[in-house]
Amino acid sequence: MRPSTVRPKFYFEIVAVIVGIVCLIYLPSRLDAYYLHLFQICGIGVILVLGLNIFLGHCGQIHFGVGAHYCIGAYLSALLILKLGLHFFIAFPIALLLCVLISAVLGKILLKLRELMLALGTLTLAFIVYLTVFSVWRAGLGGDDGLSLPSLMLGTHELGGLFTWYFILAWVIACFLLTQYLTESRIGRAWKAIREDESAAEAMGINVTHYTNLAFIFCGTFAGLAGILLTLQSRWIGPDYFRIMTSTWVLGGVVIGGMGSNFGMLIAAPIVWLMPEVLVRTRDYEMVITGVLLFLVLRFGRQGLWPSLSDLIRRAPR
Amino acid sequence: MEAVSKSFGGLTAINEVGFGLENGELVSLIGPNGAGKTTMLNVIMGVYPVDRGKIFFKGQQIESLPCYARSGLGISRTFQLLKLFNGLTALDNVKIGAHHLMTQGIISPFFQRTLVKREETEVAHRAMELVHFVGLENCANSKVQNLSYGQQKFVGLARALAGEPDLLLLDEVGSGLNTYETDVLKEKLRVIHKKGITILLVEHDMHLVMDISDRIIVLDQGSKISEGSPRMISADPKVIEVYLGKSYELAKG
Repeated sequence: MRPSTVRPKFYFEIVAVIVGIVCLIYLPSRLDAYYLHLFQICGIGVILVLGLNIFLGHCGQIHFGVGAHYCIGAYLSALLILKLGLHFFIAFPIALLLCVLISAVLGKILLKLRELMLALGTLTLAFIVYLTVFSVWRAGLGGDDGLSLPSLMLGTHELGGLFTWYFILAWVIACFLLTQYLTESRIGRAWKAIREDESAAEAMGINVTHYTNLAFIFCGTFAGLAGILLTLQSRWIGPDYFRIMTSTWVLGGVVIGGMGSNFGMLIAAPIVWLMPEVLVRTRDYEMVITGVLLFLVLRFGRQGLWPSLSDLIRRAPR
Repeated sequence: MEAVSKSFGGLTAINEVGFGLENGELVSLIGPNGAGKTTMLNVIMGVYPVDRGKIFFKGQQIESLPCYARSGLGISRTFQLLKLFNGLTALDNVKIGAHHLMTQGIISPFFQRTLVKREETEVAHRAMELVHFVGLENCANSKVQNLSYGQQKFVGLARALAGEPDLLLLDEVGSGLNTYETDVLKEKLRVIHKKGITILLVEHDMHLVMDISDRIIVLDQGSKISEGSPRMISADPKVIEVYLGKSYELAKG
């Protein structure tokens, strides 16, 4: 039997976190707007995949429509700012609260479905929300012209890109710690039990409906939060951000990072969100290369990048 | 622990069966395949709703309670087909068994750190104790799917015990075990029994059943055909006909 491998992995993870934080706080202040923009979208991506990882990776339920929550969060905060004239910092908590409520209601409805039906149901949700903003409610939401937001002011001082990045980073860290705490507590164990075997989980005294709903709410709220941060980051939102491909890529990110591994999400999201930026230079070959890379990950690191990498490190001769 | 009695129609997997379990008793449920033994456990656990009849536990009527609530009252079970949490370690499996004994909620990790710390140490300690008890201390941190079938059976037993049950439902814990493992199991069951935990055992290994049971209930085609001490049952002509067979009688001399 292999002895416990918890300790070395734990130290390794702590060091990675410290190095990461130093790079993330110091480096961006030296970069120009384009690279800062990349940091920002990666941060938003991390929140998206962290949320889905709770529902898909830990709780084992499929969700094809994360883009829907993302879209709802973005449009809610945009509408609160534009129609009600609220300041971003006031619109922010209100929109977040609404995201929690909407996720709770959607979860109550959608989680009557299971497995394949749940996949279809969530996919439908993504379509409905996308079509609502794209065409159904063109008058209120601007259709494909989208909604433009004024720049963020604090008094007479304009808060620029660097502030946006730190704001996003703070939320990334908060979301990560929240996920990490939750998934290692009693709730996380209940989620894993449901992932492994629902009927056995029920027999162990776990209220399966309650805990899957809870995971869905976290997933939806994280995605909603990402949407709110997107309005802050991009100052313009339109249906283009919330195509089905967005949901698919979030799902891809969770699989690439390693389902159920919170640290995996931290590397998966930047890969998924930066890949188009890098590969766009190869023009027509972009999708081909994306496909090949995805295939390689699925073929040689089936558990996902983080678990595969930490396996490699563990096995390396010391 | 009050009398458990129930009857149940529909497909007639179980037809008007009633019995009671005394506190601290070890009762075996035997019968040929398809007699409704596992169904009976599922009904007590709440996996299926009853069609007719009533189930009492500790004087409380429980047949309308959902499965997870019943385990909160102190009923625990193992599964015939194991149903372990395969991707998790043996220790985590056992910890999950203690789910309903813990009280942490969503906000606890932030505002009730001491509660979380206390509960986590407690559950880790208890889970380790149970893993020791079933003799798996060497594989506590191995994933369950990498353990042998016999070891997995013991993980299932430890997981059921982690919920500190008053009533333990064991569905064919002895099947698929080798002779040595069966002897170990018998010892463990005796220890559990001595602690005063009521056990309802479904089992095909007659040596095990006859050795440790206080009382035996025999089911056939959904009906109770006999009930009594091991000695009475092994001499009951009806039971011999439907289940034990003539050879068993002969073997006993």
